[in-house]
Amino acid sequence: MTRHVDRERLGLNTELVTVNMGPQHPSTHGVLRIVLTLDGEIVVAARPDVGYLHRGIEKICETMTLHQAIPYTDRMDYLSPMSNNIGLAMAVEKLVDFQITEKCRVMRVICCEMSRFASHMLWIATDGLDVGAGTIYFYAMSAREKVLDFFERMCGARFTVSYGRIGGLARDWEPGIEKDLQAWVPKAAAAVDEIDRLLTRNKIWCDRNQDVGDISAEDAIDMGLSGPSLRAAGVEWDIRKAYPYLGYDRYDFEIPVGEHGDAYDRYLVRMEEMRQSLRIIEQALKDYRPGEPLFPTDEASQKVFLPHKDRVLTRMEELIHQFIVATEGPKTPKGKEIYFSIEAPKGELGFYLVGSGTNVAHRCHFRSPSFVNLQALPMLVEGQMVADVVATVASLDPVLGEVDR
Amino acid sequence: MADLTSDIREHFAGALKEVVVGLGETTLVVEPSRAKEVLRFMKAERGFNYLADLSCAHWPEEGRIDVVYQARNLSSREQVRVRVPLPVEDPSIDTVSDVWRTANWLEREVYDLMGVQFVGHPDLRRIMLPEDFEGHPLRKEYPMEGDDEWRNYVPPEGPEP
Repeated sequence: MTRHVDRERLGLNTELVTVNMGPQHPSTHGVLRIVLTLDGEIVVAARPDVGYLHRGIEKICETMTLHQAIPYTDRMDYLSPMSNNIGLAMAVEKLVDFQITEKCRVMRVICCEMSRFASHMLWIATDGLDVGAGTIYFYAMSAREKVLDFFERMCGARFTVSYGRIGGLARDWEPGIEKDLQAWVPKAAAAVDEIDRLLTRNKIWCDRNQDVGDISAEDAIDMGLSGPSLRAAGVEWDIRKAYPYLGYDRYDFEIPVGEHGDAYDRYLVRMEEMRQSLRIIEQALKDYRPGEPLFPTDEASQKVFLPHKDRVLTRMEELIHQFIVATEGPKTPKGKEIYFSIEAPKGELGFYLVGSGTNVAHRCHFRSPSFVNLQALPMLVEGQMVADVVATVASLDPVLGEVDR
Repeated sequence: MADLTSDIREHFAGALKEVVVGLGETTLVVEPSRAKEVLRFMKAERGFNYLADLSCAHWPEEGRIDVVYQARNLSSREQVRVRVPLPVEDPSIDTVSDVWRTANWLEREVYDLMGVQFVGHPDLRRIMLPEDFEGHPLRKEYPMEGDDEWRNYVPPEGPEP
């Protein structure tokens, strides 16, 4: 909703003021700087300035083996590292043509969806904090902690997990974790419902979010928005449905779609996505077979996939294979290129890889959803009040580690 | 996909250099001077309304820089990669930021890190690196440890101050 001020009728004599918001502003979710030109309290122009966190991840990944690149992807979208790891692993698998086992596929689906749940929980926590709903923070963060506890049990790390491996995952789950996951799903759904009851009909929440930062479906497509921001604008687009990977087409879930494309719709879409994620986890847990091997066991796969850890520690041959596979990694075909994208919590996370004939990728480009989504910010905030900039940035959910790479 | 390539061949004679099909994806290699027309045609006539990604790759031996577009049709779910090879001495190409607005920042990123000039871009500034930065780090000849005065830096002898 654009608010116009009839300055002449009111007899006001205002002049434009330039305000620098960030890069240390607490509600910019990282080191985002926005140069705002204000007429009173109304934003006339906004110019986002990014790059404060640029570490040259793409350049670094082009100098090391693809296995070594995996921990760097943790530091892109550090709120959902599982999706990044597994996304890179799948992109490499597409390039070098690896087939993963059924058990690995199920585990990856569960990890990706838990990661989406955790990321959206952190988003609702900080979004609430930004627009003045401080209570939400504690509810959402404690729900997120439960997911991080599971991540710790799966791979030993809570935050930068580095769990994905080319052709599989870093290690098997401990016995009995699937029962705990089954017990966790209804509790997580209850946490979502609790936040839903606190916010969805809350008058202050509605006032701060409805008609704020709205975008039409045509503009959203033209600006290349992806993920919840695109769906909130009314475009039914989800990579999991459009180009199913990891067998997502076998699961029964829905794509929530908004109507107005404003911050409130983005909130509703993310809330529904969390519920759908839990639905997928519930279905995937039924497919999980604890006894099966994580990596393929046939003779031909032994020298290209990581061997099972127990065998590495007890057998000479597997120890050698483990050393070769872990230090050299798969050879990429020279000149072959692929673009592979997954539906990360923030939107479309794309990998453009070009093979070099060695185990180092010639080109390793990451299409990060936050970077492209953030580009639409001037369009969303111009003509709105300065306080709405905070709500709009929060609703886009940018992670600056991923914007700047 | 076959009718897209034949349509492009028909409308833009000589623009399409090569069609590469591999690993389940289609790549059109397009002449730099005609790239914008082809991409505009793809958006206007063939419904490629979403630019998923815009990237680049440097091939020092062949002396070229590729600019790579991932165009997508959201209704038919078709996806096509358009690769435009540019000479490394003078990499410049017409901007597509007026075709898809999402190309604006993506082109700025390629300009910043790879040094490709996008002719007609409304705001071609560095985006990741500081404005006074010299060089383009994603080029293969750019050293990993950086190219400024701190390269090969040896700290002075003696105790730290």
